[in-house]
Amino acid sequence: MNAATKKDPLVPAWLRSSRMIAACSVIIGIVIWQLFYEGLTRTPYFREYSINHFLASPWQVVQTFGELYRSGELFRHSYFSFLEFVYGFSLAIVVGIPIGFAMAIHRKTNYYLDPWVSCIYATPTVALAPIIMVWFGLGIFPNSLVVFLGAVFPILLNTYTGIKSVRENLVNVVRAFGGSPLQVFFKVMIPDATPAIITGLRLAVGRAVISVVVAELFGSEAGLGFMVYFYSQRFLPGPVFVGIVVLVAFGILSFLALEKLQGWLSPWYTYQLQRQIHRLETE
Amino acid sequence: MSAFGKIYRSQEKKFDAVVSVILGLVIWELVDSLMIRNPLVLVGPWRVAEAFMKLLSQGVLARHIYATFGEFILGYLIGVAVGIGVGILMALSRRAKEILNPWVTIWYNAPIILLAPLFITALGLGIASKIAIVFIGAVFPVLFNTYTGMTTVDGRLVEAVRAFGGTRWQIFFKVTVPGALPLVMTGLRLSVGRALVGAIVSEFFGARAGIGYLITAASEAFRTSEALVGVVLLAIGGYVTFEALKYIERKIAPWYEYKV
Repeated sequence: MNAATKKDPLVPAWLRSSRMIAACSVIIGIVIWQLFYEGLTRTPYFREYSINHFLASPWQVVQTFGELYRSGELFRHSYFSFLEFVYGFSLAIVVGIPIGFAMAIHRKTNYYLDPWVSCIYATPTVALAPIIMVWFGLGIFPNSLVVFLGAVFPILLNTYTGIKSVRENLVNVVRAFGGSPLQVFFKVMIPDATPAIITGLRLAVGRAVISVVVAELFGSEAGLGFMVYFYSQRFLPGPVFVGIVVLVAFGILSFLALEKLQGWLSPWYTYQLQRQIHRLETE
Repeated sequence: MSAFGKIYRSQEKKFDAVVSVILGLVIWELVDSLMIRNPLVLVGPWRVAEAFMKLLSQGVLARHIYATFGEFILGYLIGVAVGIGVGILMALSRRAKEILNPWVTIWYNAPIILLAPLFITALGLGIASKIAIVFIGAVFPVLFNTYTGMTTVDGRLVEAVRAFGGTRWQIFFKVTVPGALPLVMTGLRLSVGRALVGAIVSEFFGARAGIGYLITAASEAFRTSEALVGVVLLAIGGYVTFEALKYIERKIAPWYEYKV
């Protein structure tokens, strides 16, 4: 029916797999970027608009990466950002999951907390970053607080929805066979809510990464956000792209790790649930 | 009392929400005026309201809101148009999907905010650089949700239409489009948040007006109450847009099962 499954003797099967096409697409894109940049340097516009102040070629990015790596700068900044991420994110898990759970099982708690939660969830919490700097000063703690604010709401809301959507008949079966409330909790509610909670974590990672970066832009002595701002103020775009590459790599790695965790914790979670969970994820 | 109790029980959620908000504001005010009493650090809701009235009467607030709203709405609309277009393209053509997918995944997960300083270097302090950042923030959620919505439409529905002799176009317009609609709407809603973050953060880096500019300028001068006015405005704006889109979503696709 479609072109990709048609027999084509000239191109072997492994070259036609979607992974190969993806890899080729990325490589060709990078080559085009490099050629485009090379072409630009030969035009008068390059000097006129000082394009090298905001655009770097892939090769320059690789070189800058090497320099920052050798000087130890990259490691220092990444480590600082990573610490902030870990503190803020752990706090978000510790706070978000219990509150989400309480809101799901206790009606009054839900009624009282809901207006605050949905209002703060809809606010771009990074807007609080400058105020948090005024309140708590510079350093790891206030930055972690910004990360916490960014990450806690997706976790909380997904825990809430996950527990709310625990399948009633599963609970009834366990009850009918004489299961205690604790057994209902550990054998049904927790496992059935796990995919939704992990989806919340996945969503929270993205928000947390943005929060780390924005918090560091304002005031800090280290961190990837600081590095990016420092060099962009000096019109050196190379380190900016290095920072983005590092953070994308981190984002993709944590995404894969959470996917693995999901497969390990809830292996029954299948594609048929995907659409519903996707809905949750974006809720 | 019983009449009141009856009304209370029927509208319990709304009553509790109002009580909760009032309680929260009172506690905030008390903490401010009794415990901390330092306007540099925490300011109570009363002083935030005063600052709001002051900014409003000076006409400063309207200018900031207007600037942010302009950046937001232009970037958002362009992002939505491009996102839906590319999403449909990726859902219809397998080749396009295979070629675009890695790039879309990378960009979707990248903290694009980091590019903000470069955009400002390239496009200047004006509205163009902000529109670009808002656009990049808004485009990917719409794109992803359009794609997922169109490709996860219930296969049985497609088969049913085909079995009764439906053409490809009929399948597209009668099944795929309505089936994808709820997720597209979700994408629109999700994009609002990202677009707002884009607008605010790009104003943090350099701007002449806007709510983000108001927040940084005020907090750098330790006028915390004015900065909080900005944050409260964002909270209200975000919440209203969010709820409005949720409402439209229910109107457009009432058949969609909202409870998972």
